[in-house]
Amino acid sequence: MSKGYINSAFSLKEDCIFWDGEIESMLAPTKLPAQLDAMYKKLVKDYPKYYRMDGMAKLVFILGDLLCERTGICEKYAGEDIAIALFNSSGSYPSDLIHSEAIKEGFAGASPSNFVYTLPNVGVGELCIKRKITGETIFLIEDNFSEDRMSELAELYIGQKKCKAIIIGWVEPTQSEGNHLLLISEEESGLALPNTAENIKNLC
Amino acid sequence: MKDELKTHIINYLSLDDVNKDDIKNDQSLFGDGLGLDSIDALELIVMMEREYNIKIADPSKGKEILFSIDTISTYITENS
Amino acid sequence: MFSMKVFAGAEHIISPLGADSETCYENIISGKTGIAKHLLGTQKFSLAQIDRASLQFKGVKSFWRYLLSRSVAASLSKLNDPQEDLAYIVSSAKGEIHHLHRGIFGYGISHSAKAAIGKEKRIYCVSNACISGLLALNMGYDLIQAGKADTVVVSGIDLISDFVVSGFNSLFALDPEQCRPFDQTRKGLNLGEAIGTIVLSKDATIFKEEPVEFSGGFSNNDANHISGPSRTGEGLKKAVSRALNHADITPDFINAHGTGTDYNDGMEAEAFSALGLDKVPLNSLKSVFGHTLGAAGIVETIVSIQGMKSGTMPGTYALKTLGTNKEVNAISAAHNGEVKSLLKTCSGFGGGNAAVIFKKL
Repeated sequence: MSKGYINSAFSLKEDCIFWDGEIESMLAPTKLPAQLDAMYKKLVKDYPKYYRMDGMAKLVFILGDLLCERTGICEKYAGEDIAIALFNSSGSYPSDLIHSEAIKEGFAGASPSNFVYTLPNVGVGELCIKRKITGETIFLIEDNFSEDRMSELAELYIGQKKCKAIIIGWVEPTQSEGNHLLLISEEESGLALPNTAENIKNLC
Repeated sequence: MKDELKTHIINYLSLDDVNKDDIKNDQSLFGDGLGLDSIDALELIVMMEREYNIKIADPSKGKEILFSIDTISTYITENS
Repeated sequence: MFSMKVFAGAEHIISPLGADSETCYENIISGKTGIAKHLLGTQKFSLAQIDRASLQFKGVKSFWRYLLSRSVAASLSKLNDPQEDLAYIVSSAKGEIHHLHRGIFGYGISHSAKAAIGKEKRIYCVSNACISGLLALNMGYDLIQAGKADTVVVSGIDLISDFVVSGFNSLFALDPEQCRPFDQTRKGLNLGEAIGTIVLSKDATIFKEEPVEFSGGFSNNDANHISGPSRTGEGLKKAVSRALNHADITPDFINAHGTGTDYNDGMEAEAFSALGLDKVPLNSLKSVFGHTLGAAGIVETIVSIQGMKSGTMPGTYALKTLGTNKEVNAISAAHNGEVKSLLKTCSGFGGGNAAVIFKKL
């Protein structure tokens, strides 16, 4: 049974953008939200909804959109054949804090547009809307970055024919300097690395 | 007041890329106009309550009231 | 491929309707609801809240962890021998949101689940809004099919909190009275809290009582809106048809998501009707459990399995007159008769839709 192949990877760490494990460009050493905004202005541009997203959704949206753009994955496959499985450890912690503060003086303080982001999978929904991805989508929580779990999930989905390609990633907006990684695993091999935990670890 | 309304809308909805001049008084805020959606409408209901002390209890009525800057300001004038 | 049979059993529930699945089921069949008015903040809300005192819960520990460890232990006690090398999947939309104030250290569903089940255990945590429970079941199925686990314990849990109630309140999504899924007067949902646990295994002999067959499931994203479903139920249609094709059945019964909101129930009726399932009897359990978020997929599946085994499916009790644009066979009274195959669906924020199929052995 095919475990799939890692055909492309995009990561953000220590103020650098990496493509397939190689440094591609440097970002100004500011906080993560400012870096994402800068990437949006330079690379995505025409998606005003971006500004209303929370930090997690921005992170998923920017990394995911650029990965799709660069790899042409959405042209190669039907939307329903692409899956997305993202992981982190804190769920939607930053937006949870904002909502929790907002209701301290009473329920009337709640902001509906913040509340919808207190679910970690909503950023995945934003990426699906932009890229018309209609396959399986799932958000999982792990204590720490787990290349084993990421590789296993890609293998499950591809091996069980739940998708032809899957975007797998680790997105933890509470860690400014942390490693955020999105990669594409496919049924078919390209110039690819086999889908193994070790290969995922080396890409991050 | 219409100018102030536009400022509130931009702030409440984090419309970082929109200027006050981009919002015309009679233009639809939703759909093909400014492109707001149902969650934005709920956020505007919150804005009306906090900034103008006006409650819209039935969100289905929100659509007419929140249609444009003109309709919102008429509603505020009539209900405050 | 997909040749292996997967069995499901040893189910357990703690909800406002009882502290085991049999009691919950009997209470539902006798017409009881878990929904009552409770004061939260300065307002009264219709909620399905568990009576902590009735469980002898003392309130020193985390109630979330208490429920999870109690429910997992209760399920495992329904297996023949102590099972080794179990995998666990915990589904929760908001986890221990009550303890947000403790700070980021130790926050997160994985941390909470390990504290309840055991640090050394193999635990997966799914947090994908209202479809989390069905995604967890699907993942358990896939782990078994891929030969990565023989037996998987799947739990779904969410609690009522000021956090969640104030949020849904700000979305105008709450019905102040008992919710009325598929009814023409439906006004919104009620929130609920519950835990459900069910064991999936490739080995039918591990269960003390006869299990049912789990034929797997699928999910599809609407790619339409983050907080509202596709009006035409595109994602739900895809997920349901993939699940039905894979299991190779036409379902005898549908346990729908049926939250009681205008859009959700309307969208579900569109999807079931478009798939030619409009004559299949259908219910929603939201008027008894409320919407239990990450627990919904598991708890409602378990009650439906109880219904399959005993030959009586609960009705949708607050439903009086069908009020969806497309006609579906939503039943208000209990349904007697053999149900050999069950379709269970959920849809939720983030655009997700999921469907699973269970068969009677």
